[in-house]
This record gives sequence, C-alpha cells and structure tokens, in this order.
Amino acid sequence: MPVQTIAGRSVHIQTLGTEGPRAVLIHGMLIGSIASWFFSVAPPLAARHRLLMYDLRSHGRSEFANGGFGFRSMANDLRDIVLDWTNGEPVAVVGHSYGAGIALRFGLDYPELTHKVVIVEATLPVITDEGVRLLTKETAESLVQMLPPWQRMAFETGGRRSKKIVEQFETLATKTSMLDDLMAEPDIADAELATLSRPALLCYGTETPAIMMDTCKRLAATLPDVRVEMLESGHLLPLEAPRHLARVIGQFLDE
Amino acid sequence: MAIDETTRAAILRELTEMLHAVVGEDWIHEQPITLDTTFARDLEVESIELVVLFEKLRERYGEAIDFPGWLSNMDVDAVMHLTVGNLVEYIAQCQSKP
Repeated sequence: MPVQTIAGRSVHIQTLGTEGPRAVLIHGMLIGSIASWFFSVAPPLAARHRLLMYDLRSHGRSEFANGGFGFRSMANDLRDIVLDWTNGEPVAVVGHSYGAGIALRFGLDYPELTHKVVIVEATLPVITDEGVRLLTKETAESLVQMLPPWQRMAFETGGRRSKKIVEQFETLATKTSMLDDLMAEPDIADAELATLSRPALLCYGTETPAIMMDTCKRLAATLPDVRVEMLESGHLLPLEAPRHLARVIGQFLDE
Repeated sequence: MAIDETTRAAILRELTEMLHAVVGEDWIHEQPITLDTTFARDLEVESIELVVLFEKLRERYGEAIDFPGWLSNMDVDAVMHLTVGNLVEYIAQCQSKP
C-alpha cells in the first residue's frame, strides 16, 4: 500500500530495489515529491540497492500539516519511517536541497539509525530573509524556469500538471509555516557538524549558485569523514544529472 | 515473440481502469485513452500519479515487471514522451517471457 500510517500520520511511500544496502531518498521543498527521485536517480540505483522514497509532510500525497517544517521535526518524521522500514537497522540517508538538510540533521540526531549520509546541494542556513522575500514575490511559474527543459515543457502548456504543482507551491508558501520555520531554523554550528560520526558524501553542481558552494566548502571543512563530488549541473542535480549522480551515490554506498 | 492484439487490448483496458482510479477526477473519464496517448502531454498526469500507477501495475503484474530497469534504459526525453502504448508493449513483453 503506497499510503501508510506511520506514527499516526499518512505518509506516501514507494520502495524500489530488492537487494543491497538500504537508502532513503529525501526530496526538496515546495515543488518536490517522490517523483523527484523516482524517475531520475532511483531506477539505476535500485539495481543494487534497496530504496525507500517518501513524500514529505504536505507534499505529494502525504498528509497535510501546517507546521513542523524545521529540520528537527522533519528528522523525527524520518526516524519514524526508518524504524517502520528496518526495525532499527541503520540506513543511508540521501537528501536533495532541503532534503539534504533533513538528512544531515538525521545523521546528527540519530547516528544509531544512520549508516552513511549523502548531501546533494544542501544550503545552511536553508533560507535567509532575502530568500523568503524572493520566493514570496516570485510566482511559482517563474520559479519553474529553474527546472530543466524537459520538465519545463509541462509548464509551458499551462495545463493541469503545472496547475497542480503551482497549487502545491502556493499552499506551502501561504498556508503553512514552512517559510517561517525555515527562517527560524538555527544554523548548525561548526562544532556540532564536527560530531557527525558517519561517512558523508557531498554532491554539488558545477553551475550551482555561490551560496550553495559556500555551504559545500563549509561542510567539507567541518565534517570529520567527508568526500566531495562535483557534477556538471545546476542546483537541481537529481533531475539534471541523474545517471552520474546515481553512479556516484552507488559507489559511495557500496564501499 | 509476437504479442497478439487481444493481449494488447486487454492490457490497455486494465491500464485505463487504473488511470481512472489513480487520477480520480471526472475529466479522465471523458479522455480517450489509446496506444498513442502520451502521459505528459495528452493526459497531463502529474509525475506523482505516474508513481502511483507504477505501484498498481507492480501489484497487478508482479515481479516480472521491472520498472526500474525499464526506466534506466530510457533517457529523460523518452520518459517525458512516454505513451500508453510504450507501457502496454513493455507489460506484454514481460508477460510473454517463459
């Protein structure tokens, strides 16, 4: 059953792959969902790994919640999902963008449930006042110009698909505390980053904005056991370079 | 091995019913669904609905269906232009294997 009740909430979950190390793939905010990974990185990765993907609260087909979008709360959601999936066996956590922040928080808070951490294009802090001003000023339509051409096509027709994604974005931006939660999210101090006790892989795009690269450099300097891979891409790595990303993640998980 | 028309038609019928269930909105019942119908352009299904559809197909047709493998061999353009016929053909081929 794709929609399951976990710790009293409905969560849309999809699993792929029947053998190999377990990994949870965590999507990004606002316009993300299971689909962000399902058609891109997950197919090749699932050949030799057991994958779980889920829709974050208020995204995709998971239950709507109007609060709880801070990293600690989202890491707790993830903890419930992992416990349900593996009964306490550790998993790799792989997150993109906002999802990468969740993965990092999870690795820090629940090392006993974490095998490895893959951080794809994280930013710390997630969003500044400036960023929120930009996001709430821009319409979803202009934001989707960030998507790669083959996804942008869906929006150019201005039809049902684009309406649905615009709806999700607008609901999240205006009817939940998401942006407030993220602005209030404290940065993770270097001293705390240095306590991550699991191997970490950082994946960043060569064309990603400078603010993302600043986080990459900071994480590379503070995480104790860390590697960096640069891929030819912008911020939306899983969609722009899925095969390369799958290969890099797969190799890291297999070590 | 050649796939006969009866098999194709049967799979198309099942796929159509599943699409109705997955989308769950009135307009899908008015929408003609043929082998040439594209998921992205003609049907405008959301990516997330495709995910749910694949899950239903996996439940119905079992482990013979290897969507990850099938999708891996497609480039992103092909996924974007996927037709109902592509999916029917794939399912029929999986079923016809000994």
